[in-house]
Amino acid sequence: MNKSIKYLNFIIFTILLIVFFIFNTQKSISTNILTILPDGDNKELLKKFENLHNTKLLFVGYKDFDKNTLDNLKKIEKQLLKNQNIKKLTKNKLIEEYEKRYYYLTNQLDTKKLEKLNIQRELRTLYQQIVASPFSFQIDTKDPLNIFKKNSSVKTLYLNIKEYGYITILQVDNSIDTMEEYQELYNFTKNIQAKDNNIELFSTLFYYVESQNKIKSDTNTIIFIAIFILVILYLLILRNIRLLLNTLITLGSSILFALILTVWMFGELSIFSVIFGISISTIAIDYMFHNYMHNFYGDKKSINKSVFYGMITTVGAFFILSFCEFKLIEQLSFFAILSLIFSYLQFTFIYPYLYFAPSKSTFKYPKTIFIKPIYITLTAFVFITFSLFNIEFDLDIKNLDVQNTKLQQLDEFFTTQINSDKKIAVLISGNTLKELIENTTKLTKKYPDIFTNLTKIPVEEDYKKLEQYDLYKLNQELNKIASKVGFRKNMFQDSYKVDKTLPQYNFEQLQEFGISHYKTKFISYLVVSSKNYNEIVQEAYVKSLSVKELFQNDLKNSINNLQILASLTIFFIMAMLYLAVKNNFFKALNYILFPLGMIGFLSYFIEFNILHIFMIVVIVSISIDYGIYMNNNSIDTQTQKAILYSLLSTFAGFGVLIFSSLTALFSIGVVATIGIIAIMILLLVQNNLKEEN
Amino acid sequence: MFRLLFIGIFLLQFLYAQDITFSEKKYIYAFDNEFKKIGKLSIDTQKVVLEYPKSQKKVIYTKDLIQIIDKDTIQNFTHKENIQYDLFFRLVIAIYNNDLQQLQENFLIKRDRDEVTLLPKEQIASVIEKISFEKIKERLKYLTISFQNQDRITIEQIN
Repeated sequence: MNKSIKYLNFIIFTILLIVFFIFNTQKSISTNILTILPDGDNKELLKKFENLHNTKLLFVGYKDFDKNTLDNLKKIEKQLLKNQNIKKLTKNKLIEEYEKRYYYLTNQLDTKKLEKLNIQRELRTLYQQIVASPFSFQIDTKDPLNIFKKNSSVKTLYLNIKEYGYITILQVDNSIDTMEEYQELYNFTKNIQAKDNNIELFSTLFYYVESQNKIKSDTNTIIFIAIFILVILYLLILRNIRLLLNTLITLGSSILFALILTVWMFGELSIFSVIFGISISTIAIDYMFHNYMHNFYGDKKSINKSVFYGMITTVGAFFILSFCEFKLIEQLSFFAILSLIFSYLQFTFIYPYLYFAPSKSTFKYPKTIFIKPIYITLTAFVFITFSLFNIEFDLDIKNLDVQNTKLQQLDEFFTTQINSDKKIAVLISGNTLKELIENTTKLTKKYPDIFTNLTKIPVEEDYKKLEQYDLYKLNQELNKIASKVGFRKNMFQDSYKVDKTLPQYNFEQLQEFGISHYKTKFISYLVVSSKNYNEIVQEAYVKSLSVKELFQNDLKNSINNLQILASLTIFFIMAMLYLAVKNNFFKALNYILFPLGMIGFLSYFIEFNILHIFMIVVIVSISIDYGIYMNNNSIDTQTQKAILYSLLSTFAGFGVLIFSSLTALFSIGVVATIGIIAIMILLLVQNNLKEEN
Repeated sequence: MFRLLFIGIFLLQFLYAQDITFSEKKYIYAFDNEFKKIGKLSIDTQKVVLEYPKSQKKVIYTKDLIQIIDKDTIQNFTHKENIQYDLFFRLVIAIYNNDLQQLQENFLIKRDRDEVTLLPKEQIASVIEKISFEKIKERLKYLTISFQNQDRITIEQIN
């Protein structure tokens, strides 16, 4: 029995690891920024937009001024086209068919030209053009008099850019949408690029791949630093390898347990929730340290009440935060609750049976000055008040994503070369298909540079407009005069004959045009010029599709919600604190206020994002554990040491995130590090040690 | 020494240069009519010159540009700016040098005894239906370009 208990930690870990891989849990971890944002209309609309606007492009550039540049670009293009997922850019066949069939409805009649039209003069000019052409002149028999304004179509395939070289655009097969396929395509293109320094390649898919690679490499660095700190703590200070091994196994089990259950609850987990959740899991090391330093794994076989209060306070705080509408916070709150409870149960009920001899650490706690708790409380209040005057919030969720400046520059370069100015997508809606098209037409009339496929859908109104003009008579006159000018008989017999059967659409066809349903509305998107963007989004039927703007309101709501939950959490913590410490309330309270005041100083240098705010609440939840452990008038050195070791391990969990170059993780790391330093200061200046009394 | 070399190269230019006089029949479907004219092609290692003596129009094709001289006006184009002439001259040079490999990028090449047929690929196929020609003992018997709009140009060497 005793022998099997010794290996219980390892057995639990192995079982959880098997379950983890059986359910393919790792595949449910997503790097898409959308997964951490609140559910609601905006998120659904963004998802719909991603499905509608699903043309994945690959921009290919060849930097050179050599006469062979174009040939070189074509060679690169040939190599790229060998990949079955890369194709030449083609026009949508359905739209092309509609453009041909409904020519007079999809192109706009130039009524001014029609009013002043001199058919004979137009035909003579056309005649001269045909005769002067060195080869064959292509006559548009649908509109030989050129009275319809043509919509723009796919442009030339090879673009000559001054002071650069040539660029072309290829299309990536829409069917590829997994990260493995993206990575495969990325590797294929990069291998081609590696052969020649003049090649530049860009696709929005590269963002996903490079972000994932960056997150992976960043996470590896952080894990390495964290393990390094933990190894120093256990091997050099505590000198207990068995304890280190068991602790790592317990933390691993808790993380696996939390991962399996949160994936089961949410279906998809953000990579940020996972990294952050893993960091939170390391708080549990506190429980082990306090039990260990106070010999609960040696001779005492009872339950450490301080640790229990600490765990209940932290778990309670995360339970309150789990009601947050913000997906990331909801996910990691559940992750934290599950992993902390699972670790606590192991550290409290399994470890005493494993027997770990009390620490032989010779580390001596440094003697410092003593400052009365009330002075620290007052100082903390001053710090907090000053920071409240300065605090500003950054609600742009995109700023939390990986900032890939190299790709952003390439993105900007290719986009501006293809379009003269920056283009932005907006969402347009209508209660009926007719209304959607009418709304679009209104805008395209006012802003002709808008790109949309919607105007290529003929509607009844288009017929009515054309009926005002006698196009039948125009056809008769045209053919009569054409014969006199020298054209063959009936050359233009089909010109200006309008097909009067309106098309019937099914859902697939509407999707080809970029139309979808959302609730009771028909929705689509327009690509508008950035200079008109602000005016266009003022229209009631137009909605911004910028992630920044769409979520600004959601984030504001989340922040309101988070502020309420944070206040509730603080109230809960205060109540628990009072219950646990009573007489030393102010002393314990400083463990909340002083870190808050120190973190508040950050407001002089940065704008606070949602992760800063969340981490502040987490720091408060952690520091309250220390407040509870300090519940005596005189503190023994073992408690001081336990807290110090806990702080070091907390730094290994959270503080190391300060080394991350990802904004989201750095935000967490910077708040954690300042919080830990603040607690360390309190530990040094606020406590009278028993031995010193 | 350099003078001798220069004179040598200059004389070589004359040796390699060749003038081809041809008749051009252009059938225009829109008029249901055929237009005839006489033209001349001068081909050397540096350039190809196409001229129509009656119209005083001259087109010069070099490695870097296409120059169109019409009476007093001169227009310069890069090859990409004047796709029609670029294609025409590439065709002429390939036929003249018996080097059809250069056209493989844009055409599928078929041979039936002495007649060669070029079937265009991709974008060109939307304008040109096919090109066929026959060369007998280094002399162009005919070159016919058939367009998708039923226009047709036939060139026959007459010198």
